[in-house]
Formats: sequence, C-alpha cells, structure tokens
Amino acid sequence: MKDIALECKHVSIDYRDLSHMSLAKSLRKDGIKRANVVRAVNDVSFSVNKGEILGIVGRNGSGKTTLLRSVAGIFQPDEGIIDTHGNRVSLMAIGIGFNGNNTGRENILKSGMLLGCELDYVKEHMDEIIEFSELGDFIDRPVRTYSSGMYSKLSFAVTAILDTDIMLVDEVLSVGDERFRKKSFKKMEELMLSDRTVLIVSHATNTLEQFCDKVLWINDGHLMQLGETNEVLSAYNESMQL
Amino acid sequence: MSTDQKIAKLLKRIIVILFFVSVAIVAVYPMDNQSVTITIDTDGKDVSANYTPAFLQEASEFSIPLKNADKYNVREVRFYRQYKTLCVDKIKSDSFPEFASVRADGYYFNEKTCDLMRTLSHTLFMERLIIAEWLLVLTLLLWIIINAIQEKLDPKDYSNHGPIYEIKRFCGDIRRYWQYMHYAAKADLKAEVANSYLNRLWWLLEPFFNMLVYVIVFGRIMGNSIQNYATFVFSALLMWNYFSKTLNYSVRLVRSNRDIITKVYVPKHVLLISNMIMNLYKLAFSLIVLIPMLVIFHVHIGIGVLWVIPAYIVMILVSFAAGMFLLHHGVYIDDLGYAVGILLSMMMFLSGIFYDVITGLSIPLNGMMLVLNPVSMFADSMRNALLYNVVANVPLVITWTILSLLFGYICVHIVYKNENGYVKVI
Repeated sequence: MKDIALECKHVSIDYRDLSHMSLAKSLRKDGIKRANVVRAVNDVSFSVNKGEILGIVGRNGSGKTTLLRSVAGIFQPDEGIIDTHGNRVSLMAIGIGFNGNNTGRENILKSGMLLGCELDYVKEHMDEIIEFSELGDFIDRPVRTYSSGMYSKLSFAVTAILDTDIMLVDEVLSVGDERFRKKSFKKMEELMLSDRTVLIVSHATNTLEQFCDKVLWINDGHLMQLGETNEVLSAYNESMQL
Repeated sequence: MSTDQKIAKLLKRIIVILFFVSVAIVAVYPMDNQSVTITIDTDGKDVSANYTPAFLQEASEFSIPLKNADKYNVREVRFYRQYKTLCVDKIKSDSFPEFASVRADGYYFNEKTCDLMRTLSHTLFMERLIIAEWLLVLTLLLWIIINAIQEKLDPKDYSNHGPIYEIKRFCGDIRRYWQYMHYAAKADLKAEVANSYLNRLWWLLEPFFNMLVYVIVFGRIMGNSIQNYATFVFSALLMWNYFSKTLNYSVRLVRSNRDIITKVYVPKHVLLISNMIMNLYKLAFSLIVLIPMLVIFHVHIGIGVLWVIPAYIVMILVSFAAGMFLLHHGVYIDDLGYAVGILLSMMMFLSGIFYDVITGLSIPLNGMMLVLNPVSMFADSMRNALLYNVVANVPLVITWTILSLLFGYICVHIVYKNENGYVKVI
C-alpha cells in the first residue's frame, strides 16, 4: 500500500455572485441574501497516492479549475475536507504575480518566493530556470517587452524547475512553440518519473493517455467516473461525440 | 442555530450596549476640579508653574518669575492638567500680549489668563475621552474572548483555533514571507522608476520639490505665526502621505493583486505589509530631504527627538489595522474606494496637518480631534518632538498602540476567516 498524498472527501464548492455590490446596498445588508449561488463542484471524493499522476477531464465549465484551485488552497471548499497531508502544493499557472515593469530575473525571484521557496533556493536555481525558459538576454529586460510566448515560457519554467510535492497543472502544456512544447513534455515526463504527485487538467486526451495513472471525469460538478486511464477516457470521448 | 450560539450573540450585544452606557456615565460623572500647570516655552528655556483649583478660584492675576524675561522670545504657552504631556490648551506667540505683560523679572498674567485657567480646571473633556478609549480597549478584549468561545462551540466551523493560534500563525506568516515582502517592496519601488530617464534620483527629487513648494508657499507667501512653518507642514505631510497611500492601496489590494491571489495561496496581510515596506522606503528618502531642512531652518534638536520613534510606530500600527479593515471590505464593496478617497481628503484638512490642532480648532473640537483621531495625535507628537523638543501626548500614544493592536488582531482574524472566499468574488 502506497502513501496517500492527497485526499478529498465529499468536497462541494459554491460560487456566490457577490462581485458587484455598492456601499449603499451593503449597508442595507440585502446584498448577500440576494446573491445567486452556483454549485461548481458537488460532492466529489477521491484520493491520490504519492508519485501518482491523476488526470482530470470534463467539459468547459464543469468545475475542473475550481477543484484544482481549492486543492491548491486558493479557496476553501464550502463542504467537505481537502487533506494534503502536509505536502506543499503548487498550481502551475501563467505568470504568478508578474509585474510588467520588473525584469524577468526579478519576477522569477518574486514568484518563486510566492510559491514558498527560500530566496537562496530560487537564486540557486536561477540559471536552470533561465536556461529552460530559453529567454537569453531578454531575462534582464522588463517583462512587458516580452511576447506572449516568452511570457508563458518564463512562467512555465519557474513552476517546472522549483520543486513542490504536489503539482497541479492546468492546461499549460500547450505553451510556446513546437520546440518548447517538446521540451515541456520531456520535463513533464521527468517529473512523472520522480517522486512527484501530479494533477493534470486537460482537454487533450492523448496527453492524458501518455502520462496519467488514473483519470477523474467530472461533469457539471458531479463526479462521473474515476478509474483506469483508458476506461475513463473512452467513456468520456464517447460522451463528447456529436 | 444552537443555544450556545444564541447566548454568545446576546453576550456580544450586551457588551456593546455596556460600552455605550459606560461611556455615557463617564461623560456626565462629576469629577473634582483639577490643578492646572502653565508652561511658558521660550527660545532659551521653559518655565512652568502649577496652580491648584482653590488658588484659581480666587486669583485675578499672577506672575511667573524669570530673570531677563524680556530678553527671551515666547514661542507658545501651554496648559496641562493631570497628564503632564497632554496639552489641553495653548496661547500662540502672536496673541501672547493679550494675556500677559513681560517685564525684566518675569511674566505677569492678567485676568483673562485666570479665566481661561479656571475653565480649564473644571472641564475634563479630554480626560473623559481617554477613559472612554480605555473602555473601548476593554470592550474589544471581551469581544475577542467571547468570539473565540463562540467559534470553538460552533460545530460547523473548521477554522476555530482561537486567538493564540492565530497570533502564532500570523507571526509564522511574517517569518516565512519576510524575504518575499522585502524583495517585492524593493522590486515594486524599482518598477515605478525603472524606465525613466532620471531613474533612482526620482526618489529624492520628488520629496525635494515637494519641500520646495511648502517652503515657498507656506514659509514666505502665507507667512504664518507658527515657527518654522515649512518644516512644520512638511514633516507632518510625510506621515500623512504614508497613512493615506497605505489606506488607498489596501482598499484595492485584493483586486489589483488578482494575478497572485487567483494562482497561489498567500496570506493577504503579506501583500499589505509588502506595500507598507515600500512606502516606508519612500518615507526614508523623504526624511533624507527633511534633515538638511532642519539644519537650514536652525531647528534645535534635543534629546526629546527620540519621541518621534513611538510616534512613527503608532503610525505604522494604525495604518496596518485600518488597512486590514479596508482590505476585507474592499473586496465585497465596489465603491468603497471612492468613499475612502473622499474621507481621506476630508481627514487631511481636519487632522491638523497644516495647522496645530489645539490652536487651529475651537475648544471642544480640538480635544476630540487630538484624542479620537490617531492621525492628529501621531502628527502632533512627532512634530513636538522633532521641532520643539517636547515630549507630547504620552497617554494617547500608549492608548492608540494598544487599540490598534487589538483592532489589528480582530481584522487579521476576519481576513483569515474570509480570505479563501475572496477569489470567488473578484
């Protein structure tokens, strides 16, 4: 029996449409009562073993990203418990806290530290990140001068190089040009072989087939199927046919 | 809702009512007349004398001896009651002749001064306000305790760890993210000027030209009775800028950092403190400009100048507590930013940045402003210490330190409880 790295028990997450409330409305205190509640994730339970790779599939708006974000601790589930067993979790996302006026190097340090790494640790891995991102001299120029491809390459490099125990990947494998995509694939493979636990959200079923040990399929917030990669993916593909 | 929860809610309501009742009692409770101390602040030295209520009841004139009194220049006359650092009224130098005549052997105060001191000896307005503030401290403490118990008893609440755990967590957050906060502050500071021609020189140029404006406008054109008016305004404006920048930023903090907040978990006060560190850097650069200004205007610096340190500490604590409060509410309320902007610009003119609160406002208002408005209080304390070598407002500084710590804790608690919901809103 392997160690469990991550456990979700009966997780439900609501979205409240609270965003546009005026001062007058909030003083009358009726804003909260009238808010629309949308249940994005409904009673989902699963667990991931250490070193395992879990793919998550589902249609657009089915709650995949929401689930991933709450595993990352960005928001709290309204019901249920997410237990990461003390592992550090990071969500691989584009440009964490990047400031356009700062240079690439400064932004690497900033987002590295936001991911919970020590300053010295990020500095040690600086060269590795720069090399991986293929930015060359651009690394010392302000990030606002980057092209969108360069921008995503840099942010992918930061999260790919800096270690965390559990990695959450949200469709970032389609970053950059063909060469960089191959490189990220290789990096992902490398990560899979190491002791890393990974959760991938993707629409690209061939990516999932290649990497995942297990696949979770959610639809409209409900857990449809959880099991072997091929089984779940074929069921999912069938449902996606016109 | 269970009965425990109902009782806790009721208790909270009761302590709030108790607070208002006790404030009302303090407001009308008869107190004995106090003796009044008068201090004459001259260029050379300060002389003071203490008069009992019995003496003031009868007196129509009195004198304070001082050798060669006519050689000295009277800057101001201050009156104190039982707090020897809390000035309750002042006579400015230009209206001094109305109250006293100066002879070679001392100052001879007339009927008008005695009248003034008689009123000062039996209105204890500021003391009553300070007692009310201490009642507020007590109320906040009780509220924290009741709230902690209430959350412990709530079975649906997973994050009920109590105040001690939260304070530990807060300190842990600070330690863990210290490097980030410090680095981000420096990087943001650099980002503001990175692509400009003069680059880092801006950090000095901006406060320098600001100062120049104040020297010209307030020092020359508006010729004011306050000694060293340009430094008087400039030093307080630096504090005000820090305070208002922090508050203005904190309202928008969650929205403007959505890039970070939607992608990684970070305690929200880390972002606020990072911005406060950046503002502190800017303040430090402005202080570099302030120092030559003090030299040019021949400001006499004494040991009392050390009292600026507690004044700055209170400023930081009050900004943090208010910032945390606005950070939380700014997420849910769209137009709070406008409201805060208007309130801040009103506050700037009310808080006595451009004038001395005690002499600039009429009598009940000035006491209220000094005791209840922390901005007036810390600006006044800092100015007295820096420019006149006077340690001022000690009881207020202590009270506001404690108040802002308690209020800050409550806001940190509220943010901890709600921060994971912020992403759903923005």
